Amino acid sequence: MAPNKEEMLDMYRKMLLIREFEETVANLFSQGQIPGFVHLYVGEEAVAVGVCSNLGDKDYIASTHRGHGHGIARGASVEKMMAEIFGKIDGYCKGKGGSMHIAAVELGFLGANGIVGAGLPLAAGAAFANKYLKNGGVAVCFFGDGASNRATFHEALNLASIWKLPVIFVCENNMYGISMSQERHQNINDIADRAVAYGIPGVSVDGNDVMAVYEAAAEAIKRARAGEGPTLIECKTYRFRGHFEGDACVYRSEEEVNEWKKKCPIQRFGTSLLEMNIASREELDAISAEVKEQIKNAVEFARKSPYPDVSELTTDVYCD
Amino acid sequence: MANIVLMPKLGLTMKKGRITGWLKNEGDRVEQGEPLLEVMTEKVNVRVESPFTGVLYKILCPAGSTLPVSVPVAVIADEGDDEASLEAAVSEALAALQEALAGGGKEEERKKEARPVKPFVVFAGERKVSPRAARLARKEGVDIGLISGSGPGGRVVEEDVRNYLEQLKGGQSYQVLPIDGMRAVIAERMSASRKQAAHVTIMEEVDVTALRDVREQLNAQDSSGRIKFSYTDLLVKFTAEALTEFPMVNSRSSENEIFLPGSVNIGVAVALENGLVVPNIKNAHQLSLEQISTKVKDLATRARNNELDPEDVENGTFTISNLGMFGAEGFTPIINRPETAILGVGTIRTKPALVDGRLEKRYFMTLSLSFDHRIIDGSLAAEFLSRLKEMLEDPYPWFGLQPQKNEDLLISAGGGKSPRQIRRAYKDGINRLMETAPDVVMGFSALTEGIFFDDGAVSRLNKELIAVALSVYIKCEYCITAHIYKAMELGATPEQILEAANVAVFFGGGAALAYTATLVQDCIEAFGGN
Amino acid sequence: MEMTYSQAINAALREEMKRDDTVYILGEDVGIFGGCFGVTAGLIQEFGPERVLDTPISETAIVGSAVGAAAAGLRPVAEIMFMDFMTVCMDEFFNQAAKMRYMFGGKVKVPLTLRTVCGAGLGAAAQHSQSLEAWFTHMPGVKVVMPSTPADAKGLLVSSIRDDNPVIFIEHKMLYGVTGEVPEGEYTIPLGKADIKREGRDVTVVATSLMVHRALVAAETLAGEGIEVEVVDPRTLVPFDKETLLQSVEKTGRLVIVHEAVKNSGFGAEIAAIVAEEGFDFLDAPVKRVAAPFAPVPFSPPLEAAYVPSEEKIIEAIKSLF
Ligand SMILES: Cc1ncc(C[n+]2csc(CCOP(=O)(O)OP(=O)(O)O)c2C)c(N)n1
Ligand SMILES: [Mg+2]
Repeated sequence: MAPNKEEMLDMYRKMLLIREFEETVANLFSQGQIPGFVHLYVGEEAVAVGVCSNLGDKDYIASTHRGHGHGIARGASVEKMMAEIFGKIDGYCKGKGGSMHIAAVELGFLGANGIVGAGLPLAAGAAFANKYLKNGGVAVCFFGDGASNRATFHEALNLASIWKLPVIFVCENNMYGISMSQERHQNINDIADRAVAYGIPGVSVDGNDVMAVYEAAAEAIKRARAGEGPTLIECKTYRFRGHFEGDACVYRSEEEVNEWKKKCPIQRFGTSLLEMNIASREELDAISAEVKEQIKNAVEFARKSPYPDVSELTTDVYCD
Repeated sequence: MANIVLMPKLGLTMKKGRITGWLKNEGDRVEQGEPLLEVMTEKVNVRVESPFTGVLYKILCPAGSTLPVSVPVAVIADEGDDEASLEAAVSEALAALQEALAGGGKEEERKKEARPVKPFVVFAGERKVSPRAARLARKEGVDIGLISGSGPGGRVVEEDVRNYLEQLKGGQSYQVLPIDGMRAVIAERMSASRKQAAHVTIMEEVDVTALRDVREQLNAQDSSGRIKFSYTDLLVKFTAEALTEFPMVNSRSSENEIFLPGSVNIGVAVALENGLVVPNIKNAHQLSLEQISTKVKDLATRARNNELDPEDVENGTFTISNLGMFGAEGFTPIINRPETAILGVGTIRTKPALVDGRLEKRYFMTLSLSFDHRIIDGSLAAEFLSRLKEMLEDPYPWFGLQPQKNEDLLISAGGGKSPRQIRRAYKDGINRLMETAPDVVMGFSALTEGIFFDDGAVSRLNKELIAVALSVYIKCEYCITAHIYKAMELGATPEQILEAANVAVFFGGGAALAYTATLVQDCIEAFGGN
Repeated sequence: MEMTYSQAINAALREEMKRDDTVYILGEDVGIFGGCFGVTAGLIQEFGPERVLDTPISETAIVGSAVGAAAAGLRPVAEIMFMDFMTVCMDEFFNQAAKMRYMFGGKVKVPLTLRTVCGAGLGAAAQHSQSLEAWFTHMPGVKVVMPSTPADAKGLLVSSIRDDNPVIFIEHKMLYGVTGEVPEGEYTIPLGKADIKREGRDVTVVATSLMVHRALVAAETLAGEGIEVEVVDPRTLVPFDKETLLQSVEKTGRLVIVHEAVKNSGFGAEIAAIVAEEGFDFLDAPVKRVAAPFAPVPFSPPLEAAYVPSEEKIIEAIKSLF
């Protein structure tokens, strides 16, 4: 079931929304207006959007330290996300979590995560709950190439496999874990190969091709909903910016970055929408203008929102 | 609108960085995301992208500058910006830069704090004892129950035990300062001018409304009703505290030496049938208010019964003489030599005063400090007295108390708030005056063409003006202030008030006017006229 | 010589690697990247990738392999990028490194140094800002070091590396840029020796890591008000220098403990207990602790600022004892 025109334009819009959001955050961060660390998703938009466009109400996603894109793709409000990144009370987590812990559990978004690889067992657990409750929902876990070396990756895949859990493990192979290139941190080319060890399907796709990601995810989710167990999907992609803002990127060359910028997933998708006559230049430009406006409003919203009161310090530690 | 480029924060711990080069010149066009400058952090050289699209209008910080993050480094012009707005942006950014670089100064200011207040112990009652104090008391074999605590919550701490031991040993610790140099010259001149101490007396009027409130609250704290703190008790406590800050005022002197005792022993003058005796409270600065109160009563009783021991009157360091209880307002007490200063306490009187823009009835007391000018300089004495005044006027923190709301303090002219109350008060007043001084009332009523008795025709303002005149005539400060306040509130001009006050002259009140002229003028000023 | 805390640690690593070729470094991004906070910068250039090993994101394997290598004769210096990640390699540290010598009847040495980073202040939120030192003081077999100045950091790191026991060396991220005088040449500071950072007669403040600096500012302010504060920096929590603590409390009679970790079951509780047991009679006032509230570290800047003990809170606690 290929997406219709409306759905495709929505995917394009979401990708642009992520891009504009992240570039705005980069800008604000360098101007000292955002505290803490921020890890941006620029260049990897096709993965989150390709996967999340397949999800429904009952489904969960678990994310990473690079989680803004996953939240936006899942339909989170950019206002509340921006407010959270500013540390304001109207943010998704009342400003207590910040960029690395944005969550919107009401949308099935189980949160960004400060611990690399922590999401995999969590997603397996959410999938277990869905299976237990027989509600037809699945769970998706996004994680990086670097995370695939954590014990949690191996333990979660094995568990999901033997319990046939409705979970999709989406590896965002952006070729680096901070400064460690994939070829230095593991002896394989395709992380999808690791699926064999756990007796589950593993597929490797072009992570900068949103339709390819969409299709692979659709297939895996169909399997999961049908009770056939987990799938490992590896999306090969690249982060255009540093690991975190302020990273001077001494470990990779400018040529490499420029090479990948040519494969920009948004430009690619835009071009194919035009080529396939799904959208006109004007339509795409209009979307772009709307997105810019939306992000401007989000920043405005975040700026206006107050900081949490100091009394918030010790609330939410326990349920009442 | 012109955009300001700030020094970027690169990396997790970056606090400052050095601009190693600008990749664009002033006047160049830059796109957002295009490299604009290079910054060297602790670790690496980073190319910083322009956060804005526009023309690089002004570089504020040239290559080579080392700067903290987030300070302005350049101004980028947007399309359509005019020269003036750009220059304004530049000077604003420069000012922000200067301020950020100057920094620091504010911090210092913030740190300056008022003198700390360490609350007094009021009831020593249920005492807590620190382990350290208990150990020392055990070792020295003293009964800790006899020692009052000065630690938090009245806990007996080591210092209390040590002081108590000192006291037991009768060991008067003191310092000896030679009277030489300038002090010797002053001493010689001063003693030449007068045989013994060179007496000077200074006076301060102290607003004791808060002290009165504190006294009420403290007395209410003791549910047994056994303890009633007197003003003398409170004065002893505060004076002892102030004396610890001004040891020279607590000194004793001989012809050529000044002794600075290590303790504050405050004498309280007790009037006897045929004379006066001044027993003193040893170590008053270390006692709880309750202990002081007990001690004052005990000494007074024993003084009256002629049962004082010699040590009760020896080694005093300062004396308080309260003639206020006999109605004296201010006086010039004589120093109890070899002490060098004495505090005279006057009676408490009420007066109207402006507090936070409201007219209030306040309580005032006059303190007179006589000091030996040979030993204590006038400025020091004045400083001491004003420190004492400062403490007495805001006694709350010393007892951890809050002011009580007291509506009784509010003054409403004419004895009431509603027009009917005011009218009745006037009538009562006039009626009373009719009995004592009928000619005055008749005179006034003649002057005002009988309007005083014509309720309907005269405005409230006129009535207030007449009341002003009347109160000047009878020299009642309280009434004068209250009625001037009320009259001005009703719209009276300063001229009208002065005219009303002048009316009193017609009726033999010339002396009254002289007496109150300044008060009338003060009131007019205080309440907003000139 | 004037140096930053970060440079001092770097210098200690360099000197020890030169001195002893069984010393090697391993951790995430410690090589060409120079470490997440730049502490290991330049070492890979000097000692090569054989002795400065970039690892995958595999804390379990980092610590576990270091324990094995230490037992087999090497002196690993492992880096765990943030102390918060110690949670994912606790078995390797707690069940393996800490107990191995004891379990084996004293027949093995585990000369492992584990460097890691604690503390709030960067807006890094709940999983990158914790101060978990108390956990490690509850581990017989492990030594716990928490330097507060560049000079201490260097001398203590050298001692940690030379020590034959597993040592956790806890750095504070807000201290990396702090500069201080560091002695020239080789020197060591013994583990288990506290340092009196400021002498005073009225009250003892025991503070660790970043809090030492805040306590010193508080002491300076209070000196202006006539309260002389003695600031004691234990420097190592295990072994703990009881003598210095008790001597100081005997002198002053008052004790305030300041740490950034949450108050509940923090190391301050241990210090207070030591004084209650062995110095009770010295006390002229109850022991006070100034520490973080019982909550995770918040992200929002005003909340984070209120979370970490401030100079004001230290001053308030000290004043409450008089
Ligand atoms: C358990 C743990 N170890 C180390 C880190 C520090 N860290 C944060 S992100 C990161 C790299 C993650 O690489 P990858 O999984 O490929 O994700 P990417 O950043 O490339 O999106 C590391 C090492 C962490 N957060 N958690
Ligand atoms: Mg990666």
